[in-house]
Amino acid sequence: MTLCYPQLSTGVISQFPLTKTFAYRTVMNELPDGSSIRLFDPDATTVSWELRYSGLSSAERDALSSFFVSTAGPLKSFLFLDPRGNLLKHSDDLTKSVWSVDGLLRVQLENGVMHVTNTAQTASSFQQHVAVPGGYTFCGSAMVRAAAGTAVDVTAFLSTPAGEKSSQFAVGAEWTVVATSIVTDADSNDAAFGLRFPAGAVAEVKNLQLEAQPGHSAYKRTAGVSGRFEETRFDQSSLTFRADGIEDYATTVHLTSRVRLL
Amino acid sequence: MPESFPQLSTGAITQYPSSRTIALDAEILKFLDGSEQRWPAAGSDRRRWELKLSNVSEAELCAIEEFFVSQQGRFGHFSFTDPFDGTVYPDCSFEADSLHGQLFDEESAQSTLVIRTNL
Repeated sequence: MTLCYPQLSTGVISQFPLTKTFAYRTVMNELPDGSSIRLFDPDATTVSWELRYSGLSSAERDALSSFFVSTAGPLKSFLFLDPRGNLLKHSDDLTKSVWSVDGLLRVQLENGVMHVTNTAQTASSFQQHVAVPGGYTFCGSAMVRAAAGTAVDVTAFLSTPAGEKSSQFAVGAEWTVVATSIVTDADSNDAAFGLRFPAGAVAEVKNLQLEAQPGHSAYKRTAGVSGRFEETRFDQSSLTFRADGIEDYATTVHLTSRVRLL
Repeated sequence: MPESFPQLSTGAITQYPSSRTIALDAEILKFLDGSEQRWPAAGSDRRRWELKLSNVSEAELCAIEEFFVSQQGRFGHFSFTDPFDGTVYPDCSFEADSLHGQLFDEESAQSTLVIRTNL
């Protein structure tokens, strides 16, 4: 089973404040006239996080401690679901192959907004499957508005091998957030997030997002790289908890992940 | 046409305090009699801006990070509008290959960026 960084009892990965660092490597040769020759190193890209926790319960403390032991500190890599990331790939382009789009659902992309038309006689949907661990909390969200003047009933759904959780929204001409959340079964290893439209519906969609937390947050656009980081390691050899009171523990966790761009 | 550095939701490029540096270097040759010969150093006419974003929203921070990712750190070139006088510099880059973003809550984040002109 793939090791995965644990969520807290509230279903979130981290608390505020949270620091995230992007690091690239560009070899630069500066010439005498001031101009430069640059070579980008795609294999050297990393993303790092500093997660500060406070008010942890003893159970949460033990969960983090056990996880640190299971990875032998910085030795083993694990899956980290970026709390500031979007777990979907190509979040603003339904024409990409990561998206499963029902055959009679017409999608047209324009300036980051997807125009969706259901030409079928029944409900049609699009979805993206993401490999995620079981027993975790996820929230899928999007912004939708009716494109043809009349309100549209849109269903946001999260499905796992065990079943589906959905929420239905009546969407008008204004942009409306549609969201649904789920806690995956312990033996689940896949979740799909998508939207379902009734027959004849015409709508505009943007800001598709899947997050490892109970609620939705600010939209993060993704392309080929999502918020799933499979080669994450602890960037520390020791993990210290400070007891501030009964069932009140604090700690700081440093993580780093290699990012494969190609 | 190169991409442009993104604006904040207010339309501004940066927040206070931020700084701009104009760098102009000269080569100096001193002679025994105290006289000097000076000439401008090649490639020394540079502008450099340190942008301190101390109170931006998570969405604004995400937009900055997305732009940094699209530029692949200091590899990319983009146009930048000097927030001090509105001059557009068509060929600029991030000075560093890393970007730190701190999120305090959904409406409060901070980051510091350094941008410089290219020759």
